[in-house]
Amino acid sequence: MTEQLKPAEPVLHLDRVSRTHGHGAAEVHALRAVDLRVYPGELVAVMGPSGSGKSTLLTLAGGLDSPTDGRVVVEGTVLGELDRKKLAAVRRRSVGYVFQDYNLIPALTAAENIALPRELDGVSARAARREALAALEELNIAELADRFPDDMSGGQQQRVAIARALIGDRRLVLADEPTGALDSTTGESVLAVLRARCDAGAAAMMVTHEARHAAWADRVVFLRDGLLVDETARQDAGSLLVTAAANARKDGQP
Amino acid sequence: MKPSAWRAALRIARRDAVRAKGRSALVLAMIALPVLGVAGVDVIARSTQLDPAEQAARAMGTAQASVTVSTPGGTVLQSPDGEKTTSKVPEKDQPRTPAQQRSASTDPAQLLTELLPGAVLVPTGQEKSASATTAEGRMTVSVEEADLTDPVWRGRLDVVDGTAPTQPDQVAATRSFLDRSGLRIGDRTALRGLPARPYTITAVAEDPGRLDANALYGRPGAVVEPLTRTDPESADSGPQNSTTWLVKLPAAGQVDWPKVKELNEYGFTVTSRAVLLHPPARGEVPFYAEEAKYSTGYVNKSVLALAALVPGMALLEIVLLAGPAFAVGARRSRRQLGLLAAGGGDRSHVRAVVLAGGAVLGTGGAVLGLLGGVGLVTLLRGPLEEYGGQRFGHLDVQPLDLLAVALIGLVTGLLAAVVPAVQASRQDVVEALTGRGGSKPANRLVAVLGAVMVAGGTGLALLCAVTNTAPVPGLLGGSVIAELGMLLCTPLLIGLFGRLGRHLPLSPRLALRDSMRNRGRTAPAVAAVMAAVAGAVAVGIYDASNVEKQRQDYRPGLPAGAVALFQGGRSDADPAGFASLREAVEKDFGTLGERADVLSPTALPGDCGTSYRCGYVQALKTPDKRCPAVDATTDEERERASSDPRCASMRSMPTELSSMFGDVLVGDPALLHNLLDVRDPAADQALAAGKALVFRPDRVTGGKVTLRAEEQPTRAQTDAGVYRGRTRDVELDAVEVRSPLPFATVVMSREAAQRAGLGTRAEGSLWKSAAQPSDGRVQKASAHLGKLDDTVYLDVERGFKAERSAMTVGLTAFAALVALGAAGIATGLAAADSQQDLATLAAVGASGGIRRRLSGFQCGVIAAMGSVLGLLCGAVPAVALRLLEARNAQVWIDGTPIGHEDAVIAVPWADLAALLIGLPVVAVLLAALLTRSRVGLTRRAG
Repeated sequence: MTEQLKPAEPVLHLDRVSRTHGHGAAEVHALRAVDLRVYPGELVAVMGPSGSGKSTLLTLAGGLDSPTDGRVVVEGTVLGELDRKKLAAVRRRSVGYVFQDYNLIPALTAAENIALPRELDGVSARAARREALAALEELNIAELADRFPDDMSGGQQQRVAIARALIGDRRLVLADEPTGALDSTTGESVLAVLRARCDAGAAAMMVTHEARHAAWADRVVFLRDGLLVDETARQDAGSLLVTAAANARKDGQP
Repeated sequence: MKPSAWRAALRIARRDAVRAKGRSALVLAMIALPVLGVAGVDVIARSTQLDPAEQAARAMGTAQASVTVSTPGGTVLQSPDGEKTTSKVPEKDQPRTPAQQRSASTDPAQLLTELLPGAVLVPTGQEKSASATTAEGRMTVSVEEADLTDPVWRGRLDVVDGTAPTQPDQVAATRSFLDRSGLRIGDRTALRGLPARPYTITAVAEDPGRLDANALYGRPGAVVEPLTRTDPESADSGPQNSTTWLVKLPAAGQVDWPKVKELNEYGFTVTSRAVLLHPPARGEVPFYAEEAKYSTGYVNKSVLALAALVPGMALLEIVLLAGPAFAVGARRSRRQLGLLAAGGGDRSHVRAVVLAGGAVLGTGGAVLGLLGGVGLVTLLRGPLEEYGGQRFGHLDVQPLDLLAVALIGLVTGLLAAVVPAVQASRQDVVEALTGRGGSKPANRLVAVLGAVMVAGGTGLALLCAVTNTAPVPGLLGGSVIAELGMLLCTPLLIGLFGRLGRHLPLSPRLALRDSMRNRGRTAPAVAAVMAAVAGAVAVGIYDASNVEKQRQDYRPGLPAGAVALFQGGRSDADPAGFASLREAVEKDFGTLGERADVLSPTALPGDCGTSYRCGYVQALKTPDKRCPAVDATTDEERERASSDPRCASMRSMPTELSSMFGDVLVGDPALLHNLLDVRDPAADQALAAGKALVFRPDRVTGGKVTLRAEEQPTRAQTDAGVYRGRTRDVELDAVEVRSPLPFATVVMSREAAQRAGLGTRAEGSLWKSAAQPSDGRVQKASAHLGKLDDTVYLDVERGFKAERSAMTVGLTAFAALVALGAAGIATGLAAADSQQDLATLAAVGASGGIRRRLSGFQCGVIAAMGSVLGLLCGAVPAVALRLLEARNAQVWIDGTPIGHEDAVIAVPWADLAALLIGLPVVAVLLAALLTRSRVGLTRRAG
């Protein structure tokens, strides 16, 4: 991992983004004026206690939800200016999601799951499958191509999900606790795959609870009550681990 | 959307269908069953429709034409197939054409051979009714003549077993005759009137167009002619000389359309092979121009409405029933659809996946139904042909028809998936992914629209029915609109329903609240139950109303519990054997008690046997109450009398009771006991004293009753256009007797009838059974009698019995089953959805029982709501249809329609109450029993 020169344009730019749920007494500030840039080749870990706004950050970044204030810019495109169809197109072409579990559509094989965004985008089934097989090949899981999700282990499913998140020209992976449902060894290997994809030029933002997973990241941002309270470069990850653990204890988490 | 996206959607839908086997099977069955039915009916209808060559074979065998003498001296106008004709006969003062002159003066057969040079004529259509001996007795059979060794008959009358008769004492019989008579090939049968000439059955003959024909076919001249000779009087009942011929022509000869028109000029009607195969243009057929002049264009619109209403409503019900299955599917795969959206699918993609589910199952159901329909018809061809009474031309599978039928299936599937698809595409992606949310307040605007649709649809259907305008679109459209409107109201109604829950115990309260919160899930399930119940209710109300109408129209012909043996009705009955038949009945029934022999007086004196040639006797009303038309001798007088108020009763349906034996009867005191329930020694004495007992006050005046004896008109009279025989009035001393059951107007003794110069005719016997004989016993006795002599029959009066068709019972049971199923699906879904709630309940210490009850009540809420709404929806088409039918049932008086019937609408309250209470109760019990009370581990998603 060599330190790269950061290009002027970030893949993802959250520009003073706020998100408020509800009104009046029921008003909840999920995010308050969060400012964050994710550059190509960068893996950013988002940490914070339950309810701090981690998942909201991710849904906003992918255009699944829109901010009440501020702008979300993905590869130069301001998501707030797009209609629903164009937002869906952005998700097909620029952003890939990886969730904690149930990532894959159970009715489709691994290859078909990976090919799905391309097929929805109008690429012919054959071409899409070729791309999917190539993606599987790259992740060294070509043997999974024709297996259904029910016949795969959790780790295999997550790897397929990562492959799907990056198919086509997509360069932004948004991962919401991608290892949460996995045992620690499998979790580490899935993170290794994600790290490798970032080293190959992709950008990723990953929500995680566990400090040791954050060690895979180039940068760790810390959220509390919707505010970005800390941002640490990877070089200082060691010190962050201590802080994170202390914070976690304070929040009553293991 | 791009094709590749559709492909992906179809792929997901197809795999999902395979993954959720139970749900898919349910939807497949719902779509496949109606497609199967329609496809089967289509194949049967198409196969029954003969193509021209087959039509020709049925009509004329291998001959070139079939020619009938219609109007010698007149001109015939006919349709090309000769099925429809009209004729023009010149008035006496009009000049005749040369052709008309020639046909009036020449023997038709002779004329035909002159007009068709070289033609060989094979006579056909000589037919006579006769009584043939059977294995155990006699039965009536139609006797015809044909030389079955002649290949000209092939296709019209085929020998399917044995060898064609070659000798005058041989006959061929139809399968139906053999089955009923118990005879077989090789057996002998003799015809009444020709006992010395038994015929040997050598073959089974089959008329492919009349499989149920009960007939014997003898050699030409060997059967019909000898029969006619033995009974010259019966010559009237059948044609003596053949009036129809099959025409064989020399090689390559044919009867083309110009030739047919030429033959028409001579009064012949022609069915020609050449014309059937190459029909003339419509403009070349004078008959059509003539037909258009007189066509009334009257169509009974209620039949059309029924024909449209049943399949239309059925389609709607299927859509409503299959809808929840797709809604369940869409909801189950909420997260999957959310993933699709997260992966870049926009709304149209999500919609496409759910719609593709409809397309996949619709196509599957359609294909399954088509194959099933065609397969079943192919397999059951023989029985179907026999049931329909005719052979198929050939198994006719019309690809275009079947494609249209299959499209119905596909459209049904798609329609059912539309609403769930739109709902699924509208769901919030984040909520779908996290499994949160779902409860939104009902849209009041939609509910208002629904209410307007309910009112408007109902109004439209009823208005169209009452005014008889555009009933097909009106009834169907109105009923559909009303039902859809009810659907739109469902979410709001569910909300209102939910407010009832405040004071209920925990389980039902929780169930109600849950149904209310999850309207998206509850509404389609309620719709499904509603659809099923609406169907059952519609059938129920329609059927109950029909039964009620029949009850109102019912007039008993005998006192309740009477057993009657009827001897009359046919001229060839055997009076001598009657005593043995009476004995057979008494033996079959065991104890029947006193027997009354029933006779009726005849105009001619003496014993008239069973024939009707001896005239009739009626009891006249007293002159002050009698309609003057009765005594009128000329048409003018009758005309004048018809407006007399005393004649009014003649125009309406008779309201007086009348026995099936007639209303002026001859008998002994036993008749008074059995028929009239009169057990008065004074009446018995009066009868013995030769007085007429009169049971209606308006027939007696000054101790006298007037009987009018009317003889049958003679042949000479009818030929002269006089259809009334000689009449004379006789006066008898009369005693007025009150009867609780006035089944007769006058009863007299045989001696009294003789003294009055009247004859008697045996009508039958009557017993009054103390206990109602069982159906089985009656059937057995009837069968026994039928074998001895099929001209007599047995009747037992049981009062009005509603004939609820097996169809109605089946439909109701089916609807109940479907309703239960729909409620069950919804409950299963609710249970899956509320796993977290159940886990919470378990965590706070709720017992398994509470969770069971919760499931039960969830199901019950759905079933109850669906039943109530279905009740309202089902009433609309049933009531509208009854109104329309009444509007189309013309009441005629003397050939003039004076109005229409009043609609009879009956509501089967008991059945509906059972449905309304029973269905939810059963649903609650079933759901509670089938719910697993253990709680599975739940996991957080997202």
